[in-house]
Amino acid sequence: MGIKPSSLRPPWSSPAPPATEGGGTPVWLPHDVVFDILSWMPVKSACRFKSVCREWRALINDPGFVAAHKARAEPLLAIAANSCDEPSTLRLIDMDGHIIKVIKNSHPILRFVCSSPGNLVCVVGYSLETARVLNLATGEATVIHRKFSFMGFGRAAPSGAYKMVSISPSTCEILTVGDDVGWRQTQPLPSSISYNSRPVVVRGVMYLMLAPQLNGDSVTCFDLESEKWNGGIKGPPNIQLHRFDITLEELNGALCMLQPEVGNIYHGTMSIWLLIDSRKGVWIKVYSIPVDPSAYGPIVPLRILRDNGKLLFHVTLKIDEFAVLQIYDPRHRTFTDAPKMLAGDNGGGISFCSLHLDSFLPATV
Amino acid sequence: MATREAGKKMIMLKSPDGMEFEVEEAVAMESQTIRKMIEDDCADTAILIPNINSKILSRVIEYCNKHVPTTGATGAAASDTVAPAALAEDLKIWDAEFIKVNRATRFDLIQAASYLNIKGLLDLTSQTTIDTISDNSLEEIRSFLSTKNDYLPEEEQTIRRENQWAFQ
Repeated sequence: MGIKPSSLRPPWSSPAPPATEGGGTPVWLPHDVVFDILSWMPVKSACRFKSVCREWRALINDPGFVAAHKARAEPLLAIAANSCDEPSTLRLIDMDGHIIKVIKNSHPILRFVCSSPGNLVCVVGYSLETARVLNLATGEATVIHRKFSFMGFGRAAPSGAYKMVSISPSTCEILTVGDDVGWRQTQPLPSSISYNSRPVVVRGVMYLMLAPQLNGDSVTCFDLESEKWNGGIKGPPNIQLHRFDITLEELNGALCMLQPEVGNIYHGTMSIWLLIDSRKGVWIKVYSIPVDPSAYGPIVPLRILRDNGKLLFHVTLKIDEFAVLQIYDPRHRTFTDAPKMLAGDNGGGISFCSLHLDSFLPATV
Repeated sequence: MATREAGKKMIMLKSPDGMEFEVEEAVAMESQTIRKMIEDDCADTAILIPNINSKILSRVIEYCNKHVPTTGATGAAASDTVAPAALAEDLKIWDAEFIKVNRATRFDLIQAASYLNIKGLLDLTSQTTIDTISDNSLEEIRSFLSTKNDYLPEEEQTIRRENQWAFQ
């Protein structure tokens, strides 16, 4: 692993250089510096630059690099668009609005079950009986027959296996994608959960909102690797967690909780908490957002942007209109529409999720 | 203000080509490397900065001067009256101007930022570099960083196939 210093001489002698003052002398770039430079690369360039040489491939596949990259580089957005006339499309778009890849689907995509790190995403359409697992690298789709409509999807750690979990009040079943075993019974839910908040998988752990709290815990965890319920996590302090309208999401690689401070999810103020220490149950409030009272749906956070901590989210503003991408600026407490090129012309119902470099690495990493 | 000025501790930074720069200790301590030297009492009144020539060192000091908290070009009073948001905006514009340098200077700045461990400057120079190379072809990248393609032809094909979407 790593890059040999010898491979890192910068191009003082490269053809047609710009005006070089003091240029011409080969200067050696240390490993750390190359690591730093490459960790800002867009996801697409990172995947392409694996072909530069063996050392670059080793660096880009390295978990430490992937983690640094996730914290720095902006993600890709996956935007699913459905229209009545044309096949449904899944577009991968970078944060400047460039279309990176378009995947045509024979079936509409109504929502993403989970934007799990890994090149598979799980989507559901109109059918209550099936879900589809899409391979973002190849575009292939695998149809999976669902057990119950309430389900989670994600990648176990450290094995990297993709698993789907289907939950009903009395049973819990699990399926490993790609094996021939199919659905298996697993430990039932330890207590009753809130069916208003969908399961969220972060780093191999599936989180569910409890309803009501159990022994002071408000979130329960299921480890996808051991397939066991792992006890609970307390919610942020001093907030009423028995409310039905608190939901969980994934934000910048961490579990986040959306909690209406005043009013409800459709108007008032929404707090967004990030779980920064799951063992100790430490939450920090990252946003307190005034919600557009005329909005038809709740806001769904997608990404905290590099640009001054602005938040990219999507929201359905009107009942007969499609979801829109917006950006919230916490310093000025203002909202702007995301650049048109980012939102694109969808011409149909859309849903979003955000993806990182680890979505495009081989499964063995 | 006068007492404040008088109370400031100064430090001498020397470049290997013999130039000396007198800077406030707070400014020099934007560099974690220098901070550590000062805190560990390894620093005399003058610190020799190896490998960074006077031209680059003066630019680095310029950057640190601008980015040192609560002081900077407009003086200490500014931060009391100007909103933090406006200051941040101002810094961003200043950074964008600062980094308009040729490639050789930028690489020198990256290395200086890395050696002196100045996170803000390292982030700025790295980001700017990646913005200029992320769309380059593999050949350009290899020549740019004097890297050899050491894949066997069939290996390269496999890697390319795995990441084919990124080449489209």
